[in-house]
Amino acid sequence: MGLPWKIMKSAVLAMVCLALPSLAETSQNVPLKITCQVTGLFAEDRQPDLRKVFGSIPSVKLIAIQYSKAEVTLEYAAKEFSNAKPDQVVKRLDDLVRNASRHALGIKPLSLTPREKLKLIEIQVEGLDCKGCALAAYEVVARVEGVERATASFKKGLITALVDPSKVDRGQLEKALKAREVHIKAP
Amino acid sequence: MTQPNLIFLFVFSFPLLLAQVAPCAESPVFFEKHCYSCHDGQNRKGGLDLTTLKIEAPLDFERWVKVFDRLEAGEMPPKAKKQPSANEAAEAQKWLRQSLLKAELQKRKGESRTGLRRLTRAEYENTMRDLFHLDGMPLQGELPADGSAHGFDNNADALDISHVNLAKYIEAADRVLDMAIATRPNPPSITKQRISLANSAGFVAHVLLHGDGVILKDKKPDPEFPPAGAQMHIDQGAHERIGSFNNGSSVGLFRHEDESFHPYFIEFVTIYPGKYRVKTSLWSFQWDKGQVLPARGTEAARLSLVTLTGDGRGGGHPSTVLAYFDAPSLQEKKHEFTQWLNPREIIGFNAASLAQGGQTRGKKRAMGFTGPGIACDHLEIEGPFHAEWPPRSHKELFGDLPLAEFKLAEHPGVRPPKRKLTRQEMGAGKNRPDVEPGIWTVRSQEPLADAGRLLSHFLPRAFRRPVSTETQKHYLKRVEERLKAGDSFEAAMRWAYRAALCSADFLYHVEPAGKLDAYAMACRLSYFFWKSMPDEPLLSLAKAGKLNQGETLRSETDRLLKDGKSERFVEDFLGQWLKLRQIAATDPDRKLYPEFSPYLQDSMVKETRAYFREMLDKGLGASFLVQSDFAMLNEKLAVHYGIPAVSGSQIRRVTLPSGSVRGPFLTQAAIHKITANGTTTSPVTRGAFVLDRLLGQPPEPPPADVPAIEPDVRGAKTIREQLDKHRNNPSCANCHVKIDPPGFALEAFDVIGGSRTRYRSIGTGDPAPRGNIDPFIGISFKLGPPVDPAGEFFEGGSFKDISEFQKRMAQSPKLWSNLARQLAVYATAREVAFADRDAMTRLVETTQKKGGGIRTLIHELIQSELFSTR
Repeated sequence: MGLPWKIMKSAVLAMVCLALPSLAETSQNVPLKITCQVTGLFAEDRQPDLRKVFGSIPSVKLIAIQYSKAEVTLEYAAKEFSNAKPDQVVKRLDDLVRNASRHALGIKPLSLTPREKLKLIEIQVEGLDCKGCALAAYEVVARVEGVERATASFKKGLITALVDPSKVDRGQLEKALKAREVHIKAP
Repeated sequence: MTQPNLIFLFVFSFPLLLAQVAPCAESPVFFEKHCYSCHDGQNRKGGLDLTTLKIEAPLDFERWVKVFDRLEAGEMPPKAKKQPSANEAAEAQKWLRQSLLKAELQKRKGESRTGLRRLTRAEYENTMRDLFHLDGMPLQGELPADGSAHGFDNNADALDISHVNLAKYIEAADRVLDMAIATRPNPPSITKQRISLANSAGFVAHVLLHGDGVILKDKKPDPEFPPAGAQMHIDQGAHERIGSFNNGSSVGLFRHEDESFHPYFIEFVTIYPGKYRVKTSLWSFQWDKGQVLPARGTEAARLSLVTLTGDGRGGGHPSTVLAYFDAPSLQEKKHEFTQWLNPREIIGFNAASLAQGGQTRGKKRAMGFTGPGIACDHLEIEGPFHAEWPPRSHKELFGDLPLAEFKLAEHPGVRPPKRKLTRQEMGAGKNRPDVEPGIWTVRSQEPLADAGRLLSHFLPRAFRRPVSTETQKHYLKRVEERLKAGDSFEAAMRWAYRAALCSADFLYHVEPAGKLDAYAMACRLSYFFWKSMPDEPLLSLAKAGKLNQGETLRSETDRLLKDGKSERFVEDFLGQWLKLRQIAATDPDRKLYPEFSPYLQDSMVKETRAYFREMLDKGLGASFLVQSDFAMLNEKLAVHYGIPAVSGSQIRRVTLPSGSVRGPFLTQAAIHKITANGTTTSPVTRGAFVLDRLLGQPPEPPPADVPAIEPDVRGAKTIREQLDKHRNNPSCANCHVKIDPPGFALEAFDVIGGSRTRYRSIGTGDPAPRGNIDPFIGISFKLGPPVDPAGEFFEGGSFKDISEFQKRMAQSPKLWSNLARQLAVYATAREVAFADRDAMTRLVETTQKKGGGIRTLIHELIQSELFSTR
């Protein structure tokens, strides 16, 4: 009994050793989901652009867009970022999206500020109904510290910003816009 | 303007000749009787004492030649003095002629008439290009400028050589070999890149934001990029990132290039030198505050070759015009051409036919603007194309030896050949180099045998003649030394090739003394018409000993002139004879000549070249230098000259309406611009040009103590009135009586070659009508005093305008003799000597007897001893 048992034990061990890499591989192929905030999504009609960008990134799948929150849910294989620490995954995703969109879109972590603490500021503007101009105006506002989300549409003549009122106010946003030669409508 | 009358000085010191040359019983009496009173050691009229001049001294000899000319022309003794009898004058001329001939022959004894001379910069570049089949390789810009003698830079007297030249030749040879030698197993991959005029980081994208242009889709404003109006577009970078300029739409421009606006297709920056196919699609339109309407006519856009300097940013990089292209109204015109491109070169664009500094778009920008625009759909660049690999340049050096990867382990003790990493040097360029394949080089199993074989092929080609075995051994020995020193086969051969390209055999025109041999004759022909080395057919004829046969020379001359490379001759010859190289030496005053533009200037040069080409092709006579029934025009020039019904940017032959004075060199805008200072015209400058360049009678230089006449652009006084002060001075009048008449006739043309009956003024004057000036060009000049183009010929008779002047001048035999002289000086690279005068006269007479024109004259020149002896 001793010998067969030993043989059996060795065989099991060998099987386990052989199976380990494929088990690890399986865990690497497990699709992971993540929800992040998306930058550059300044208007509803930017959603097709966003889909097009993710269409050009084979390693990441766009599951859903929540335009009202400027959020996206993404799916990717764990192996894609196997050498990245958990807090680096969003950064890696951001790099992919920026490169694919010539830096017109990006990814950032979800906001930690509760919605009820944010304030919506609406600024009436005049300008050309043009995506490039809207992106420019959006970026002016979105880059101001304290702005969590923003939209821009010269067609509607409106720029909105969801802001942390403890960090930024309307005046600061208007000043930044004027510096970019965005014409602000008189109230 | 005062002008010392040198003629007096020359003529009145003849007795000195008695002491210098074989005396003639009659001549001393003549000179004592007619010349001494003004030009002896005491009087020295005009500052010159002829009694001290020695005929065998080079400078004095030239003065005696002038004395002879004045005497022969009957200008001396002056009319106010006692005149010699006809017999006396003839005897004196005969004596002086013989004396001069004797002195010249003595001086030349043992010396060739054409001195040893190196290649000019242009000849060097063309020779290298043709030797290696590298059509657009740039070299001459790096070499020191050539001098000039007797009007041309290929003259032996001007072609000295210094250590700077030598250092530059070594650098240039290295650059050539770098470009010629294949360093990869396969040619660089052919890429095709389509670029919008509004490419990233370019100037156009910027001005589109401000409404100096629009983006058009299906010949309407692109809804994704609405035209700038009261609000302009903001943030060029945001538009670039979101793809506003990259969606396949066309770009319509309203703005001509200027100091702060340089449209470039900068997304393609050449990495690999070679031939590229360039395509573009252009059309024009009338923009009306947001609407695209039919254009006013065919507009013209210019493409240029721009060499990026430094980090490539900004504008104003050196450029050369490639061509002007038509942009018809609302109809895309596809243009395609092949162009050699060098590393760091890009294609530049200009909406050339639009008004320069034209009407601004105003506060409402494009949406408030009505005016012409030029649309560019795209530019496509494809290449580099290599008909074979390794390329011909490589095969000239290494024949069919195989290329193989150089592995150190396989070549112990051998240094690998040096390689530079190929990279995209300009950040804006989106094209990228191929992956480096490693070190690839030629492989030779029998290095010395191969080296001998390769050198025996290369050296005769490079030296343009058979090369002795001894010379070949000399180079072979160098290769052997380098191989022993551990060089690779490529490096060792390169050493020999570089030495050959820096040797006198390559850098100099090697011609035997006396009668040229067949190879020297082949070189003379090819450097005359192609500014480069002879091709294979010419060398084969030389080898077969057939080139010195009359019929062969004739057919070869015609073949060379027919070849596209003869444009080098047209460009080089006219650039110097008619000073076309100086076309951009002055910038016309913007207030006085607001209609002037680079497009007009380039058209001027093209007209002169095309006219000369037409003279060559049609065999026209010398009278066509000053009078013609046709002109070579494009729309720009036709409008400038007031000639109707010429459309488009291409120069073509146009039959002139009756009474038109346009057409010949004399009335071409290029000549008028070259002979003006940008603000006003001077009959003296223009008269001197006509005398010197067209009639071959250069006036004496002005005295140093007489200031130039300052132009009066306020319009108070005409140049003629100012000149009268000089002309009324007897000491000045002698020269001005000859110089001024042609200059007066040419007063009918302004600084930029436009016809005028009144001078333009920026001070007082009457309001100026717009005439043919583009309505988008602002006019602020006024019309000042009337132009008086009348004058009196020195030889007698008068003219009331340019037309009458042309008629009289067209009869002048001096046109023929000067044309023959200019061609002879250029072709033989030496001045026409006094002893050559009879031969020159025969050339012209034979040409005229045959009823031929300039083509016949060239044939006669080439068949003459002048051309076929050194």
